[in-house]
Amino acid sequence: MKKTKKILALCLIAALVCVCFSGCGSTAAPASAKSSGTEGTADYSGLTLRLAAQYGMQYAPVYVLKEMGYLEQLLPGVKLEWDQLAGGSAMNEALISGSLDVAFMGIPPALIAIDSGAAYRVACGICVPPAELMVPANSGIKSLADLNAEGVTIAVPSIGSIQDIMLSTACESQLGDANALSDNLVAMGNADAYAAFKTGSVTAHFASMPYIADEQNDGMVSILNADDCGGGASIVCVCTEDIHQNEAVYNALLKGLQMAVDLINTQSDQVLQIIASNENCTADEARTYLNWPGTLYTEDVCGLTRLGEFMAQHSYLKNDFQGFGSYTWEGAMEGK
Amino acid sequence: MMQNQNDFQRLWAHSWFRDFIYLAAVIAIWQILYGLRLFPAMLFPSMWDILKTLLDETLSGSMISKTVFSLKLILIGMGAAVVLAVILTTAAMFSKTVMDLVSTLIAVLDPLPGIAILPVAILVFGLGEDAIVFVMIHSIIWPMLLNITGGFKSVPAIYTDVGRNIGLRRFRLLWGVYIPASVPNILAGFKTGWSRAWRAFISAEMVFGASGSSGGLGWDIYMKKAYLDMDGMYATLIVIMLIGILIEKGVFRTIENGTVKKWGMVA
Repeated sequence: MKKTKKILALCLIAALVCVCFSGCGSTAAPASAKSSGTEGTADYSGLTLRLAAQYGMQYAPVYVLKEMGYLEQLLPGVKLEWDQLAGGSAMNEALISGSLDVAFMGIPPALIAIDSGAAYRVACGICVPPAELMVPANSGIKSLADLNAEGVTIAVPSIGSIQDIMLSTACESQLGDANALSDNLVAMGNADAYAAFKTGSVTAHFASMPYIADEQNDGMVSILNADDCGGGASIVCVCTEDIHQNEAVYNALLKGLQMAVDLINTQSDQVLQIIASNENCTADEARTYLNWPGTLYTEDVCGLTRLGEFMAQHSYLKNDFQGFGSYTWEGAMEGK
Repeated sequence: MMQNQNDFQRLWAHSWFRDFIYLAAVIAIWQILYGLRLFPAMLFPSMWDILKTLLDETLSGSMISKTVFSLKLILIGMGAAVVLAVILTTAAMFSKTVMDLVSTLIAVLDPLPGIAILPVAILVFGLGEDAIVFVMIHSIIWPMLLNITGGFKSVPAIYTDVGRNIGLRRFRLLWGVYIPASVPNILAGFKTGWSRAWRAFISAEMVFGASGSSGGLGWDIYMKKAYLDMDGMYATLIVIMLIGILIEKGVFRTIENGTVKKWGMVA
């Protein structure tokens, strides 16, 4: 009798654990993006698209895509679910678990995931953002070599981020060792890093817009930019295989982003207002950010091959770099 | 058959055997779920791959160095929090003002997650170990104080009256009556503090932490997540769980057996 109770208890525990796992799994349901309509006579009322981006000027085309309602126009009846995620790592987990259909992120996290076997690919670029390593003007720091010291901390948005990889490329070319500053890195979101930088808690900040402008206004200076790291690299739009296979939806996504990029490049008042409201800045500041040296809004995917080869060479990727086409859906245009 | 049943019952009487069976059941369920491919293998790897990674990282020494680093900081945080808790509770026992202050501080600060005060910690201490220790102390001290002062308050009046009748006053009353009568609460405070310390440490390291050789297990999880090394990430989680089991079974249970159970305060 006692033994029966024990076996029963064990079964209950096992069932409980199963239920727990099933609960976890509820957020990891496979992505589905099915439309009930066809191109031309489209009715996409049965379609839900789950998209995620981050904050910052490099996501300005996403701001415009959302605010102008391009996807809703191109896919009438579509239900869009937008998320803000903290970084490429969270995007990867959401995409792989099937919780997201479309995400906007830097090239390195996308390459890491695709290299590890994720089924998504890069659809297009949206922006080649500026990236600058900022230090206090009076710090006496003039180059990377000055940062190679104990007690020096360099904030990057996350490990494996575009800034992290760019810094490594610069370290290799200027210091002869891609990992020369690895022990000096701290991973902090741009907002936290900006606050820590202002209080002197970090020595340098590899920043993106609009933090580069803010920090420059606070008396910081740039000692390294994307050109010093071999060139800029795109923020890309990635999507799952389900989306890619649904031609009408995939084309609408590309078209919507193209319309957003085109509108941004007009720098119209409407665009400035959209950016100002999303970035909590003035229209003039928005114009400054859009025209910051090194900024390019384009659907071309820039820097993927260069970064991919570097990342494979330095074991950021498990496998050799397989070429641009292995990481992108067909039709993606390679930029410089 | 009967002999086998008796052997099983004898083994089942040992808590280590029951723990082993539970652990084996979890591993088996994990592997079955993996085999059923209910979740993407990239995020839910095979248990054998996880255990192999754990073994590899242990043998290479990398897991051990990160564990030692983490334990060192957690013990510093625990030690500092215990010293502060002792000072505050002692002062609170002798001063109603301090007791009120402590009660208010607990009510205000205990609900704040350690990670929420990280910006303040960075502002005051800068980046690094000091900020992490500060966040840990914050996470540990309030539940510990809550348990200890709660224990002191629940000491039956007859105990303190007896203590006073035999001439115990102040520190001697505290040491001779309040503390022994509150040991179950004090132990509960230590247990809560220990788990809060781990949570705070891992969270703080996952928000920021020096890369390279100087990070602990939280930073290790962060790095492995960033590179989608899920085998490695789960291996690190297993290490944290194993440490939890070792401390619970090895330290807290030994103390309980030598005190509250021996004294008949708990079953």
